[in-house]
Order: sequence, then structure tokens, then C-alpha cells
Amino acid sequence: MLYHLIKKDFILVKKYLLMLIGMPALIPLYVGSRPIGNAALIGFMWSAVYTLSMTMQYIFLKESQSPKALALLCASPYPRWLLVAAKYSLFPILHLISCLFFLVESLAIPGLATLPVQAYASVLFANSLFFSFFMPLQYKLGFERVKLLLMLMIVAATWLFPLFLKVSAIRWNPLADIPAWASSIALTAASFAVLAASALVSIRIFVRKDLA
Amino acid sequence: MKNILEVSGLNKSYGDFALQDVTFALPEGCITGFIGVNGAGKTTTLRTLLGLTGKESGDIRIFGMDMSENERQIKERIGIVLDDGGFYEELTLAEMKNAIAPAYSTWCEADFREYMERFSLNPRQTINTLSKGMRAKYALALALSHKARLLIMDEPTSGLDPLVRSQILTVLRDFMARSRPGEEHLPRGVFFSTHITSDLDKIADMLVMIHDGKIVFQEERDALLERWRIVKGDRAKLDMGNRGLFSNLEENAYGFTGITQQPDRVLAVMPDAILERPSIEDIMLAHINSRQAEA
Repeated sequence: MLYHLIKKDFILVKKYLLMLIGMPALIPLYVGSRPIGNAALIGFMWSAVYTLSMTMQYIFLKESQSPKALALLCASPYPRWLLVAAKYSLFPILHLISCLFFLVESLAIPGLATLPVQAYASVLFANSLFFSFFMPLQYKLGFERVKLLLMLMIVAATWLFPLFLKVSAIRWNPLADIPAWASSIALTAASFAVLAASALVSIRIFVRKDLA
Repeated sequence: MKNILEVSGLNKSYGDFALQDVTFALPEGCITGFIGVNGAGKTTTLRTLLGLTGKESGDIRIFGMDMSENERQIKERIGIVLDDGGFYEELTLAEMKNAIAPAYSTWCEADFREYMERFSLNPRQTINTLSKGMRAKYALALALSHKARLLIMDEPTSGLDPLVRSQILTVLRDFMARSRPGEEHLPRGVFFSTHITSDLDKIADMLVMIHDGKIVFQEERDALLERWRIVKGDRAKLDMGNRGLFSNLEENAYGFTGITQQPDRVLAVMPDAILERPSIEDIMLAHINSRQAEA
């Protein structure tokens, strides 16, 4: 059942599939060509956040345009928690797509720097924080109210992340003394813990929600 | 006769509207019409039955099971038709079916194909290109393809032309008549809300009326139609003593038209009055008008 709900979400945004696949492919190339420090990491981060947020926004847009379709699914034997779980299952899929595109491009294109495993884990953690904050808000407030906030968050993240990298490199890097493999595992585990906590909050909100 | 659905003491409030102590039961083997004007509480009641909105208090039992404890088991056996279908507009009929069908362990692809052919629906067609009639037929095809034993439908015939409405009523009759081998003993029922009461004149066995969030009556259609009469007569015969016999009274220069539950008493005081059998709509309006007069 989970597979069919995930598939349904992808089918909902089939019109935008080319753009959604193009984004993780093109953003690292564009940022990598700019004369900025940590271009590879920023490009990958940007690509991962955009791919995730735009895909989720289009899915929620389509659901907000057909609120009775969601009601029909909830009136069927699908448990409501499964509908939320399907949305959270999109996170690792979309993140993996971003990772794969970046990995292939960084190996194939000479000018684009490769990233250590720790960087992938850091981006996973940052992205899961963003997603875990965004999803319960989406279920609580609905698409229309959240879309403006999301746009602001994306723009702010685009500016703040390079700044954060600059500051953290100078003053404080909590992962500097930990072996790369250990910090990567810790960050990945923390990411999934944050996602699980967020999913529980979203399920709690959605199970109690009155549907149109 | 056993009940296929029982609702008792259901309460739910939304701002300035509330379902108040809603209590009714659907006997098995019956098509039950749920009537009331727009905003009476029909859709809210149906949504609460289906678990789409929470209830503040009350019990819902379907197939003898408590809805809050056996939700999945009950929903497996309910066919649902929501007002205007309830589909993702940009999906094809096949894609929408692929999203819904896995929810039901009893989904029957052969039945679905049969209904799609019967209704001349193309699985590759996009939902937003369907006419209102085709959407209603598609909703029925989805609702009837998982061996449902209770159909719950919200305004399924609203906005449809007479031909499509007639086809849908035929499908409902077929659903009630069609028992699969070995399933003859299993109860079946249809519960559908509508404000087009002419459909119920043709098909309903039972009627439940709701107004202002409260159940007004639940009664067999034939008994209800038998009890009420439209009365036409001379206006001069109306006086303070007999006006109370009528629930709804319209007067003009030529005479009066009223509706009554006491035809024998009316004939006793107005022997030359003409009595006619009312429609369900006449009775529904009589109830609404008498409640408004009381208020």
C-alpha cells in the first residue's frame, strides 16, 4: 500500500518531472562554475534543498487543488498514518536522487570538486532538519499558508548556508575531531531520528484533522 | 430486520453549525435516502460516518461493529461516492484507480473492467475531461469494484441530467438485487444523501430527514407517503379552528393548498376538499415550514 501511495505522489507531479529531474542535475553545475568558496558543497546543498522542497510543494499544491481526493483516500481503508508515511518516504528517495546526480557529475566533470562522505551526511542532516520543520507545518496550516514561509526559508537558506560555512570554519567545527566515518554515521542516525520525530508530530496532526 | 448501520447520539459542532444528538438506523436490504436542504447537515453526517471528521460524542456501528474499533474492517466493505467524485483532476481514470484499489484487499479488477465497459469509460482519459455524468459513473465503478456491501453516497445525482440519473438509479437497484453465490445471507444497503427528492420517490425504501443538524424523522417511504395528503379547497372554508390541521398552507384568490397528516379530520370539516398524494419534497417542505413557524 505504501508503494502505491508513493507512486501516486510522483504521478501527481508527472507534468513537472523534467524540471524536478533537471534541478539536481543543473544546480551543482551552475554553482560549481561560480568563483565562490565551498562551491561544491553549496551547490550540492542548494540542489538537495530545492529538489526536495519544489517536489513536495508541487505535490501539496496538487493535493490542495483536489481536497476531496484526499478525503476519498482517507475514507478508504488506507490508514491516515500511512498517507503521512508515504510523504516522509519521499524524503530519502528525493535526497538519494540529488546525491546520485551530484556524485555522477562530480566524477564525470573535471572542474567540479568531489565531496567527502562527511559532507553528504552533513547535507542529509541539514536537509532533514528543513524537511522535519516544514512537514508538520504543512499538515497543520495547509499549502496556501505555508508556501510563502517556505519560499522565505529557501531564500534565507541560500544566503545563510555559505555564511554559516564561513563562520563555522573559522570559529567552531564540532565534527573536526571525530573520525569522518563516525561523524557520518552519527549525522545520518540523527537525520532519521529527527525525521521520525517529525513524522510522529505530522501523523498526530493529520489523524485529528477534519477533511473537506 | 437487522440494522446495517446505527448512529446514536452523534454530536459535532463547527462554528455556528452543529449536529445535535443525531440518531437513526438503516435496516439491511434497504435503499435509504438522507434528505434535507443545503446546509441541513447531510454531508457533515456522512463525513463523520466515514471518519473524515471527528465526532464529539456518539456511537457509530456498521455491520454490527463499532466504527472506532474496527475502522479498517468496516471500510473494506463500504463503497463510497463523494459529492463531485473526489478525484485528482490531472490523473487518468486508470491512475486514480491504481491509487485507490490497493487500499482494498477485496478489490476485483474484473468487476472494475465490467463497470468501465458498461459505462463506456476510457481508462486512459484524464479525469478533468470527464463530464459530470461520467464522473458520477466512474465514482460508482470505483465504489462497486471491491465487493462492497454498503454504499454511502453524498449527493450522487446532483447536477446530472435525467438520463444519467436514471442509469445510476438502475445500478443501485442492481447492486441491491445482485448477491453473489454464497453471499446471499450477507446484508446489503445503500445510504445516499440528496436534495433531489424525485430520485427517492423512485427508489428509496426508507427516508431519514435532517434539518438544522437534527433528525426530523426516519420512516418507511410508503408509510410516510400514505400518511400525508395535499389538500386543495375553498379558501372560505378555512377558519381558526381548522388551520391547525395543515403543516403548510398557501392561499390565493381562488382557494388554498395545504398539506396535512390528518386527512380524515380535514375531510370531516371540508367534505368537498380535494386530496392528493404528496411527493417527498412536499413532505420535506412541510416539515421545514412548520419548524420555521414554531421558531
